[in-house]
Amino acid sequence: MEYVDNLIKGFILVGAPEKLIFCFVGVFVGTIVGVLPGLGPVGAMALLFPLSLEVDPLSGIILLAGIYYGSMYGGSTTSILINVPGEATSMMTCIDGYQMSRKGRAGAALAVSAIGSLVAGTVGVAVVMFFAPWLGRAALALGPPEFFAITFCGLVVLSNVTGGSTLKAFLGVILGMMLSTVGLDVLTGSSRFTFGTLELSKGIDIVPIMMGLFGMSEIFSTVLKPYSVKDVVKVKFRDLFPRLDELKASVKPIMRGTFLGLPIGMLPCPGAFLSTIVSYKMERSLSKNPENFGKGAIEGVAGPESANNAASTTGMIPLLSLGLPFTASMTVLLGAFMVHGVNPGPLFMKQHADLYWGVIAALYIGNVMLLLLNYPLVGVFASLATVSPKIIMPIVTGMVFIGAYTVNNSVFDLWLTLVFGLVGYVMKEHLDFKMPPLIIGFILGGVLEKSLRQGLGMVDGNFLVMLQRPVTAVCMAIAAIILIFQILRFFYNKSKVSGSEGAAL
Amino acid sequence: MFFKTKFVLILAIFSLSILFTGCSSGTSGDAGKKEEKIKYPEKQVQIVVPVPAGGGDDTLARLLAQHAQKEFGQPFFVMNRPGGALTIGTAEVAKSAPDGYTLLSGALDGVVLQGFYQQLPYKYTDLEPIAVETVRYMGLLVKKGKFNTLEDLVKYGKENPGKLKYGTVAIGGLPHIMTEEFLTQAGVQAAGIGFDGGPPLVAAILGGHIDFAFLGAMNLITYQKSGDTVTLAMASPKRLDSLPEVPTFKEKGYNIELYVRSGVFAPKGVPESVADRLNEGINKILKDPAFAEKAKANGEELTPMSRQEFKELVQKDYERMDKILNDSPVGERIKQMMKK
Repeated sequence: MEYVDNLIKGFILVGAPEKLIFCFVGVFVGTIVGVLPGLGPVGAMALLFPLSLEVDPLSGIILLAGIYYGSMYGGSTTSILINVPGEATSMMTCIDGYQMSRKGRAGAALAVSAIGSLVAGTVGVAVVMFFAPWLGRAALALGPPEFFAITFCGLVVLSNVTGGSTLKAFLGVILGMMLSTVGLDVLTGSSRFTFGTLELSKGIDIVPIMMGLFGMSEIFSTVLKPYSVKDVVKVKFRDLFPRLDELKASVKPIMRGTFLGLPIGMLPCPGAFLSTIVSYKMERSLSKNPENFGKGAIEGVAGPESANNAASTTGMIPLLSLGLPFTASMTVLLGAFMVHGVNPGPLFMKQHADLYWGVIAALYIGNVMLLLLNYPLVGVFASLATVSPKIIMPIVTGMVFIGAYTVNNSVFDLWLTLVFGLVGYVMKEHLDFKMPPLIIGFILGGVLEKSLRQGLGMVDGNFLVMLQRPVTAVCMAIAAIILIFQILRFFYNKSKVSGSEGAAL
Repeated sequence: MFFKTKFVLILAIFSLSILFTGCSSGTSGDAGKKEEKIKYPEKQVQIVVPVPAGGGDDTLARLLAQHAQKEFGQPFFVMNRPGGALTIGTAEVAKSAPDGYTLLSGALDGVVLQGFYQQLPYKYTDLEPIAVETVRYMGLLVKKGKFNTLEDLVKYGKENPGKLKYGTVAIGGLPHIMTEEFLTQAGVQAAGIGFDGGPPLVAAILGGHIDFAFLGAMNLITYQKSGDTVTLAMASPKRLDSLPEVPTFKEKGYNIELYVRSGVFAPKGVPESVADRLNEGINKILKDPAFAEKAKANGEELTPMSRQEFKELVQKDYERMDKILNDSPVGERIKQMMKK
């Protein structure tokens, strides 16, 4: 019962009014940051960093941590309302969330997303609280060969997550992977696809790509084919909140999403992102009406959002248990710890128990605050969907460009956004390409290539030795089976279509 | 209706105000030219940091900015311009107006080292050294268990050539060069694997995926105290106060000194009076106990220097790098690894 004692002590510490204020400011800023597309928690955390220095360590950390998971809540808002993902992790929410919004169910989508986030966030904090030290250490056993296998398996399994032509999905994935190679290579320092420019040598950031592919392309589509506000179903006050059947349908996806996100978030890979895709795929496979997915299925919002929050929360485990930050936001948090003279390593829990338990308590409180913040705002946000595109689109354009600029303060990124906007428009309207595979290929591809070469370096280039590691072997086997299955199915379908010529296998 | 319009109005005002905030926060390299002023500083100063937010150098720069505000009376703010192995941020500062309102704070690597590997839009002489901030010593780290002393590692390495695997952040960077230097001096063959940051490297050591790596003092201290790792030797002139039981490479008979020095630079041509004022102010900050206490928590050693000393240091570093990379077998190996 030591945990409960410590937790109570933590709550007492955080219960002080000043701490609660910092918690609230943090999650509030985080929500806004999450809603604004492109501007991520890292930027906001860096901006408020000096403020966190002026106050005592606990308040400062609570503030920054609040921004971090507040942004996870807010990211789904723009995804649902205007089909622009606030973060890469909100991308899957766009797919069904935006369709729900078009049908007038924006409120339901937003509400379910907030509820799912609360559930997942709270469960996530509980997991952190109880299991952080062990989970942190267990995750260490996974090295580059495992990351390669996991991402490879992920790419194979998930490339066709949104349905449609498998071939086009794979093409999108490969295109995304190619884009991820642009820049200075980690392992040899050589410049790839940089055309001699310094700007490209830092690689292409995910934000301009997403802003372009989702945001700008949507803007171009709307400009060329404006939707009349009458097309959007009038939103009655009742419609702002989910119906009972929608709530019921969300329960299982939220549970599944949470438990999916928890383990994946801990790994040193883009855990939150990966978990949203896996969750979407899982919900689609398990659903009794898979054809609804892509047209506004609430499961497609509930699952990924919960997975996202769960993974983001467990993403703090490597930092809290080992002192290793695996994402940019965690790195900023680490910096905040360090300037207060706190060194979060394996001994953090023991040496700074007050701080540790205060942070845990603040995480619980913050999650509740976020629900209280977001739920009433659902109505406000949902009514945005009924605003005429003439007003909304210019604002969205402004937000997209601001978001793209804030990543690296570089005008070059703005040009990239524009280019990807055009590419996205063509893909969407004329080629019937779906966007998510490209993003999946981009994000996972980078990890895949790096891990493969690191892993090969570990075994002197002998790939077979890599396969002798248990986790690697299992993941590669799964990937191989699925690949073979898909190839066989392709030929089977072809032979079915070509009638009774019988040219089967 | 009223409800909806009001909200859109609020959102519009909000977005616009974000735009204005963006405009007011100083300049970036693509903004217009700044006016030359005689008194300094008369408006906010921008510190470009060539690493992403949150890293050691970034934290240091933010701390400095906070104290600089009190010292100089004008806001100093940090702008992250990561990428290109420190070169993007460095290039931006090198190309900006030399009026003292755009500064660079980062490791010397970006200035003196990267020019040997890439075509850069600047030479190391394009940056005027203003003040040194810190020096960070590095040591050789292994996971606890297999090797207890440096001799153990070297012996294993000699008996099993090519079996040892080491990790490094940034291929071609200073720690990498020094690792190869150590291997050459010890007569050991080991394969190097690049990682894109300290944390994945530490995770790989803790997980037993690689055998050893050179890491900064702070990492060494953290994981030694928790019993996960052993630092076999420090590449510092003498033993560190925080790790008194760790011998130096010198003691063991190796000629290895590995330190990452961070400093503040301005574009060449910055007025002497401005440069001197900055140097004086920064050195004062470095000696301030409030600053020192926070900075030292990072494992940094503060080393205030005069401008002349710093300039000589940069020149010496450059010549040292030149010699190693162009004139020695270590350089050959490194360049080969990079061409691969």
